[in-house]
Amino acid sequence: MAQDGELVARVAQGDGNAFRELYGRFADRVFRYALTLLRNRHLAEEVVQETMVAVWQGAGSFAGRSQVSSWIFGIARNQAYRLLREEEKGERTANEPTCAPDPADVVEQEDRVRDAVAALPPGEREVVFLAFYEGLSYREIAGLLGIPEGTVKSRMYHAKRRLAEVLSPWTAGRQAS
Amino acid sequence: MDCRQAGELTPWYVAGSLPEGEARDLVRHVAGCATCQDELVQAARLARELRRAFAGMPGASQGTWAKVAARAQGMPLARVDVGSFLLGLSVGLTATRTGVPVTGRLQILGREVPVFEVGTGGER
Repeated sequence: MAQDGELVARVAQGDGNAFRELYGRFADRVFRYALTLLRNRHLAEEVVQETMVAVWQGAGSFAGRSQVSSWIFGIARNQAYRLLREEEKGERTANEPTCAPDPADVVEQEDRVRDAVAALPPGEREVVFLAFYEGLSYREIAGLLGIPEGTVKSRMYHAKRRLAEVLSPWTAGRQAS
Repeated sequence: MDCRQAGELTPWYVAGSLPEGEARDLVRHVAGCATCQDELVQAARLARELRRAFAGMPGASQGTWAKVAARAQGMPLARVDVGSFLLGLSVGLTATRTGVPVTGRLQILGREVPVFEVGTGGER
């Protein structure tokens, strides 16, 4: 199986099959990242579209200095906040979905862990997702978010404490059962 | 290393992304600290629950690829190959600015020869 970097190099040459494969590897991950950031399913779908089109158009500019996942999540993050700003300014067309709570949130609320993550401050939520689901190191996250490593560690430290407070009785119960 | 520093590094250790040197220092501290051992067990449990929760989130909808391919233009939406390297036929759907043309290509000894294209306004 081709490495992510090889796929990006092929995409840069206009290889549609490589792009299809790269999309398959990242679409759900980008969607979940965007959903974690924005908590809006419609906007998250748009983030996937905008991100993958940007990947197709900008693959030639990927220098390989970071992981492909860091590069793609960086694009997704920019797109997510751009869409959010447009949404808040009311610049988006009337038939676009609004920022109202999405039905997907109802599904999320069925799971206590996702509910607890959703209740975290946005910066902590993002760090938790990137660290535990994407497996990025604190250095990679600091680079992606453009913040000091100490801030990333601090966000994680506080997120872990908040999550442990909410989830400890439940996870301990599950462990015992 | 003190307990506060260990507490900062523990989540990264259980997430599997802590650099080797820091991981070694953390393990050395935890080995002699009952409080941090409990912390490590709790963090490992939390990490497992979080990974499961994130993996259970919905993914991008089925129609998103078609929209991306259409915007990227010239992207293959679907392709079916029959035959072999020596002689085969490929039929593909491709997204372009003007629509979704269906193209057929004959493969002869690895070389592709266009045989038809419909759906772009001009048939070959």
